[in-house]
Amino acid sequence: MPSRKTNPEFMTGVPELLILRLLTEREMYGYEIVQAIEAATGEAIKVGEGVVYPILHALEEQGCLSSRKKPVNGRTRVYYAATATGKKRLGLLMGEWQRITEAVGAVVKGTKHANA
Amino acid sequence: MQTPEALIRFDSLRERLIQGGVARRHVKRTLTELHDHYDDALDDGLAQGLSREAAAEAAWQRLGAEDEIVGNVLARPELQSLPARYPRAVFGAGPMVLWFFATLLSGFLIVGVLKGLQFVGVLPPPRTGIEPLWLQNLMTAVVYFYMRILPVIISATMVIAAARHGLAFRWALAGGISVAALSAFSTFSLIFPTVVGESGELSLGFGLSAEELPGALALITAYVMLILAAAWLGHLRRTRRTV
Repeated sequence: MPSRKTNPEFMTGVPELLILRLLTEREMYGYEIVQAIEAATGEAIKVGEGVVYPILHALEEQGCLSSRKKPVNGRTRVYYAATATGKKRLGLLMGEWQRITEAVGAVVKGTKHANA
Repeated sequence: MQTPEALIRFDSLRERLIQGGVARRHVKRTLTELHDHYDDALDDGLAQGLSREAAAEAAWQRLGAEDEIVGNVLARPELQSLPARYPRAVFGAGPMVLWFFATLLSGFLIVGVLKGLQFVGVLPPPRTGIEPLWLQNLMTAVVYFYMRILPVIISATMVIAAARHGLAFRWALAGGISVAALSAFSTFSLIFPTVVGESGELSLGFGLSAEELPGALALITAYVMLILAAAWLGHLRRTRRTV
């Protein structure tokens, strides 16, 4: 079975950040989250869609997410929403992400400058 | 609606998660949500005009590689079962703790039942009569069960569970054998009053006289053989599931 994973070396922690960000806006179920990530990132970020569930379950265990079951069209969906703890964690992750992207950006710009 | 191939794949995933020490509730939950996700992806494929086989394969591919899913679940300690997180404590000390509390709890239960029977008049009030033979036999059997049989059941169950989940097998074996040894070297006696007005007596102890030693050694050998048989069964079950 081929993997849908793209640029895995940059992916550590990114799905968690994206999931928390999306779930602070509104509650969603797993399939919906994956669709939202692909739509929001213009399919630049694709993960094996099954990977989203361990992240959701772990975040819920940490108290960052809450879940509720809701019957929709004969299927029971598990909807997730960010909790106050989740929002705090998102703040930390976004700060960390900003720090990393700025650092990497500075190096990349420096390299370009040196090559020019 | 899943294809037989998908069901086999989900079954393989379930086995790998269980054997990886993931808590049962998380295995069940992950599988349920993956099933639903797969069904949604399958519906999408069919809506796009794919054949059922092509839609099923596309849905499976969207879920990602089995190794990737398993790796991501196993990387999350929050999703691991208690025995997987603390194998030494659960399998090493667990049998002893379980035996102790099960015996303590059942002791209270027996006393409660006896008091209840006395209260409703099925049994004579304390020290006003002699317990009927059936009750004496029943109580002796219960004490025998807790002192001689329950430790082996607990040890065997722990060893099977450890073997089944590939966890701390040596600790499970050590914990089981410790309980078996404690059971074999413990003594108990239950004396019922023979005269109205006398009190009964239940005594539990540890340690044996020289004459009792061969019997205890035979008992512990039998216990260890049973525990090893359980270990073999657990290992066999794990191997069969993996194949």
